[in-house]
Amino acid sequence: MSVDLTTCYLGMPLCNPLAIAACRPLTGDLDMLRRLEDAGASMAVLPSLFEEQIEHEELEINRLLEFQTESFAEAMSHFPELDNYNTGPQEYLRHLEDAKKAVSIPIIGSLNGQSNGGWVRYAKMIEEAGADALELNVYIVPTDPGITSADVEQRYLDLVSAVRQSVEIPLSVKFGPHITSLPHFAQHLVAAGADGLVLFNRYVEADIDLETLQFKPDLVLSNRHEARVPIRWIAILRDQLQASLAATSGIHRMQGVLKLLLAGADVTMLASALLMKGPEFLSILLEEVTTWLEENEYQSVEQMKGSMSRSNSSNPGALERANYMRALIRYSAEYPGEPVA
Amino acid sequence: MTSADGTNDKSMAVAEPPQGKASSKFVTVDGNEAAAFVAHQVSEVIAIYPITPAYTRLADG
Amino acid sequence: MGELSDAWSAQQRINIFGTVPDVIEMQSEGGAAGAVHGSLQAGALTTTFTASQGLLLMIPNMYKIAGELLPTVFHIAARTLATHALSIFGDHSDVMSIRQAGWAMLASNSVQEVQDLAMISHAATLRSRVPFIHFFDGFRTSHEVNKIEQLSRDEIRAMIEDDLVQACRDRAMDPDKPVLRGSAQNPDVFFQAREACNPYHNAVPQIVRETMQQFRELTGRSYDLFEYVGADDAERVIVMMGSGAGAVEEAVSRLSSAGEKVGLVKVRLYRPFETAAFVAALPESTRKVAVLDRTKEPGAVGEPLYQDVVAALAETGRLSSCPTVLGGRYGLSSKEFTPAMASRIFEELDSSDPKRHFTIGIVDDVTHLSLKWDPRFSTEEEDVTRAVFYGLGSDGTVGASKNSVKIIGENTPMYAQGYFVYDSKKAGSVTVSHVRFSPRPIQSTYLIDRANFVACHQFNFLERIDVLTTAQPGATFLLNSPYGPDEVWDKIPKEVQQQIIDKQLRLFVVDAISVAQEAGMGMRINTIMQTCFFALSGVLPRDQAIEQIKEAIRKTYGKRGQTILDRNFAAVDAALTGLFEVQVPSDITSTIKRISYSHSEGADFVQRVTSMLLDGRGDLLPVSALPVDGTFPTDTAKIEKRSIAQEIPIWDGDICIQCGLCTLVCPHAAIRSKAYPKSSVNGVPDGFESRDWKGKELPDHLLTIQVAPEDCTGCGICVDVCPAKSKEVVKHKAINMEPKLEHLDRERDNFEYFLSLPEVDRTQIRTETVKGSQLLQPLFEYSGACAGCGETPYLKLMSQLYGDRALIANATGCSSIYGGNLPTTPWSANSDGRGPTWNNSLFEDNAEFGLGLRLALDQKRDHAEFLLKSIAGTVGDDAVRAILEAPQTTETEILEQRKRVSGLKEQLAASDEEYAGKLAALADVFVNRSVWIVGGDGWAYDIGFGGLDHVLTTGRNVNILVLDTGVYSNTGGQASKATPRAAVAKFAAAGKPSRKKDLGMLAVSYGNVYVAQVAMGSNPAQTVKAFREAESYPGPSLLMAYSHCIAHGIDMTTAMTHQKTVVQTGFWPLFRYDPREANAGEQPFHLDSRKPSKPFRELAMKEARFAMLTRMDGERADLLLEQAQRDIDDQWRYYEQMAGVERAIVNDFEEAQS
Repeated sequence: MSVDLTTCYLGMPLCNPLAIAACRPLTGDLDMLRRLEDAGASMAVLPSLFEEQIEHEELEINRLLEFQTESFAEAMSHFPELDNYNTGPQEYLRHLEDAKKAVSIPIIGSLNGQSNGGWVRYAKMIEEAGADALELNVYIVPTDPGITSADVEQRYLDLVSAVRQSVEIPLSVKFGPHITSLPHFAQHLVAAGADGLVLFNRYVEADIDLETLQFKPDLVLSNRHEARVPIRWIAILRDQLQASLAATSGIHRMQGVLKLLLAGADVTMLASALLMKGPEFLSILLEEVTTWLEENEYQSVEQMKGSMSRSNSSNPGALERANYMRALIRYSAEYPGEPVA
Repeated sequence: MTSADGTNDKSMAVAEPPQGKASSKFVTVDGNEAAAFVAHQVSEVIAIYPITPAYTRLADG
Repeated sequence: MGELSDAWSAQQRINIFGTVPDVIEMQSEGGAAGAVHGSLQAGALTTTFTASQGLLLMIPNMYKIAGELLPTVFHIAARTLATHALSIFGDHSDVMSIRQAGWAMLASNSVQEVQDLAMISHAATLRSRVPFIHFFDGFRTSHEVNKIEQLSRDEIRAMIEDDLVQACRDRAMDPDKPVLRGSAQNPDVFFQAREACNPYHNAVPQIVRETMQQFRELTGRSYDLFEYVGADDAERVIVMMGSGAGAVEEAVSRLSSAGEKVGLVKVRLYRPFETAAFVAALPESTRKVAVLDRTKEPGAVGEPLYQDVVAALAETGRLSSCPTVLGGRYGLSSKEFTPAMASRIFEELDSSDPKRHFTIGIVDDVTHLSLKWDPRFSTEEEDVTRAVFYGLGSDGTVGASKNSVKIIGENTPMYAQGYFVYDSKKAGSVTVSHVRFSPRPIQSTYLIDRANFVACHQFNFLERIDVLTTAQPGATFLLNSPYGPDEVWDKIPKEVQQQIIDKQLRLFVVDAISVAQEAGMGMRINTIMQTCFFALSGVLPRDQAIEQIKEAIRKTYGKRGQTILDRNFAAVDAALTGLFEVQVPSDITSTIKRISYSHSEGADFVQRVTSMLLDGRGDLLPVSALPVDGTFPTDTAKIEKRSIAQEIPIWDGDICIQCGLCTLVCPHAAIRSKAYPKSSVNGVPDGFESRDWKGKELPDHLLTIQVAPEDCTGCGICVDVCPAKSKEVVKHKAINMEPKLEHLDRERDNFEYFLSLPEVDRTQIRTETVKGSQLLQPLFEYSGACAGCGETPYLKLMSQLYGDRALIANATGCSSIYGGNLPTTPWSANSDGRGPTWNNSLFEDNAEFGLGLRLALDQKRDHAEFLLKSIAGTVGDDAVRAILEAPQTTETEILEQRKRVSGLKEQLAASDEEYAGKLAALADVFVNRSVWIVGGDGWAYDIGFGGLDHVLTTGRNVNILVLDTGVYSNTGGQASKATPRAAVAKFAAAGKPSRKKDLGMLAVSYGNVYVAQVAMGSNPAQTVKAFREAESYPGPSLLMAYSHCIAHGIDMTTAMTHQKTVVQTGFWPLFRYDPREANAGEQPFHLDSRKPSKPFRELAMKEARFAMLTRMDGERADLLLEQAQRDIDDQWRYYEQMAGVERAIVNDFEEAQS
């Protein structure tokens, strides 16, 4: 009797818990989307539409076309007046519409707004373009010492409620783990209208180029140990929230998927793993998850989901004690012999 | 105005703007655009070389 | 006109035959005329647009086209021909130079007429088979924005008869019915054949009259061959053609309504000149005629139109009743021509002893031909809004004024006119917009000098420009001011306060810059000032005005995205909140005086003439003040002190490694380095920085890097290239941009002191290094080029190395404008008074012109040698041999030669030998001169290539410097054969489809030409080395210099360091080919840049000229970029192999001498 892999995320029934996170080389390309669907992906989140980038491009084009025009008798302009610069969100919305036609799995739009007006305006456009749900990709790096953590969190909540009041489709919020009191914040996000939380948003950390002595932002793919952060918090939040929980970053193998489902995730979102091993790796992963479930005699994913949430697990203490000493003692007891460097 | 065929036109004040036909469309353009507008519509080959007075483009209707 | 056709064709806009016209850019107007001739011969309806020098280049083909009765229309924005100087402005000297070519000529006087007579020309040429020139005044009409009734597509279709079009097809060259044309004929038949076309030319006037009749029935607008306006019983009549008729018509209506018997005949069909129709247009009562020509024909009895009128009157017997016919010249190079001048001409007709030939609009105190007119005479009507806007090119004033004209013209029954005056600088240029709104059609073809609204969009203009000269009493004055309504009064100069009080002006202020910045518009204050104008002028009710402004913004900026629209809308909404009226006090309180150049020191000419130009009062200069042959002094840019920078570079000596890069790359010579003996230091102003010189070759010397604070344009390139960073604060370099106002006074004194320090001894430094070359005094400084220009650093380097011995032939283009456009020139002189002597001949002939300079120099040297040898007895054989044969390759050797020559001249002064005087006058030519042929890629790759190619084969010692921006930069970025594949440019709006011409390798193929391809920003040392090798090579040398340009769509501040990427992608390989290493099987081709290490796409995404295409047409962009990469890879493989090739060419020089 095969295992029932179905799950539900943001009210949408999914054929299995393996979904694709927002990632330009994967979900930004129609052919790739088709291959991911064939490999068994149950849902895909499109790369983010960045309001800041749209505004920047429009301003750059305007500056280019205005630069030193109408100021020298022999040359009124320095560029041919062209027709469409296809600025604005047209390109993104067209890709969303094409994606909906190309695959049958749910397609979730992803938005990174900047101004309140921008969040609402672009959210509506993504809804009208046919997205099945909308993921708000929010990251705020506070640098002003005068702003309190409450101020920052309030900005998250304001934009979620603003978008909530402007669209009908389900909403999820993807944010970073650096929250002082995460359970409290999560609850308020749901109260503000979030139907689901995507744990967590990975920031692109800037590197320093020693040759030019300049900061250099560059993307480093996640590794599997990073899955432990979402394991901890999903296990904690599972009991406290009715909202859907999606796990992302650090899911590279079958074990990662299972652990997050046990912790309480409704769906696991992959990106780095597929970038490294190719879209077809997803079908292998799906097979391995199914085999494990069968060998361990689970009837369904639904059954195991959250079975190790904080209230259901046998040693929840490990979740709360994050300090180094306690974990070390237990660790050495099980592996006598090699001293820990 | 005395035109070549000798008929005199008494009105001396600057003539009232000719009331264009109902369908006529008023546009604001410069001399370059006015000439190019006609020439482009009645030509098949236009061979040119860049020279001042270069042209500036008004936002068209 | 060409650009517009190209844009329309690019948008697939079809003609009345249903096809998209094929717009092709040729290599010159001569090429365009040849292509037109061919296209006509093969039966296509063909046209072209040109002006001035371009028209002259078309003349040979025009004779052919007329001779073969090929129907076509050339639309000409009539523009001044270059004589003593080039001028881009308007007059009839070009069209009058082709009146003999056998073409019909139709003149339009206004924008409405341009459209209508263009249509009539196209219809009439098909009917008559005689080609038509349709012309209108350059700028005054070509650039005047006016409201016109637009022809509909059906009206245009109705004017073109299909059977006539078919007739053209039937006459076309066709192998199915082969004919021969262009035969060579002999005396037996040529004359008869030449007369055979007479019936066609005779029929033209009637055909034009009928075509005009058809046009009148179709549109209601009537035209005629000659049109008379004025009193029926007029005795004094002016005859003229062109935009000036607008001013005369206003004068005629004013004077005749006051009972004066005056009139005007407007000449429309100038050729064929139908005398009967002309005299019929003249009232019987005419006694005196003044014919106005907007051209000059030295040596003729009178100008062309004058001669035609006299002949017509004589032939028709009307001379007896109309004995007085005067010929007047007016309006050369867009000189103002006003109703007051027309009125004065009518007065002259009434004088007892009228000037047979006169000029008007200038003061001729040499040949006393000018008439003095009374400027108080005005025909401006009270109910006409007359607004003058003073703005910067960069603040969008002109764009907003054009939108205002559009708003009124297209949304209200009122008429609107806009005319725009620009100064000649490319950075920080001042623009003046003249806008009129009237209930009646506006034909006032002259600048506003009675403004009822004046706006000054830049507060600091008040100190430099007299903005209120045109304000009439009671006018409204809108000032963009950082000071509020109650504190602004004391901040404005005394003279402005005086004018406001005397003229009882209403003063309003708005802090437009802060409103703009608040709305995220940066320095673009145009929409704010436009909103205030509409609110104050009452031309439209306020809310309707605001709504219309927003609609115009939607049309202008809609395509560019929502962000721009929102910001502009925010600016419009916020504009009126910052607008306040100022209660004008009754007394002068200001202590600030307006800057005037008249006190500026400098040679007499500069004092008398250049300072007047700089004060904007050039119009008042009389004829005697101007040179007779176009000769101007050099070394004048330094007095401008335009001070347009917001930030200037300040030196931090502690960090400086004295590499010389900042001064090398400075496009404006506004940052200098000088090494001077410690002993020469006295009276140092405080804050004047210096450090010990770090080289061995100049013992106990100091070095100072100093900015010229009021000449710097603030482009920031020097800071960008500076390699020295502070250890403590990484962003702090050896040179940093800092707010000008905080440093201005101190740096002004420092710079003055810096200039007083002695220049370095050229023989003591290693000028072949970057660092050494940058200690030399630049003799090219403070050009009017764009801030951060990529061309000017090369000219500056050349002027440092060879300026004191250089003759420069400069092709028309950016380099001739920023190099030679009045009021001043950046070419300067050293303390001995020596410096580059410069001349711009034309566009197409620059290489030949430079060769001519060389030929003359060589002849003068031969003559001097002959004279010297003939007096060898007194001078001594050793001295003679030394002067004639001593090497002149190093600075020391040249100094020695200068000493020998001055010694010789002293001897000659004391000698009474027969040839002594002659030789003394020529002796300086023994110091080798350096001939430089300079120009852009438009000249070198296209229009001047024929000449360049020929000069390369002459073996003569000329140095050709091609400043390669890859587009026609001066005229706004049209594609040339230097434009790279995939680059967007005018006439290549969808990306250039073909590969860039490899001009360098074409020259290398000759074998005995030194060729180098350099990029200063990528490899400064190789650039200096190439310049020295090119100059030292005794034959022709060609330097291909990569020049970044604003037409590349890049950030100019980082443009020099960006050149590293340009070379690293292999897009612009660096190489030197030296024929001196090509004689005995050596390898003369040195590939100086390394194997491409970056993909071309990485460069393309940093330049908008490529990146734009990816936004608009991703597929085409990918295709072209991929092809461009293959071009680069192929070129690199070819160059790599070239580096290994051994050559054994015949060395023209050595063998020739043996």
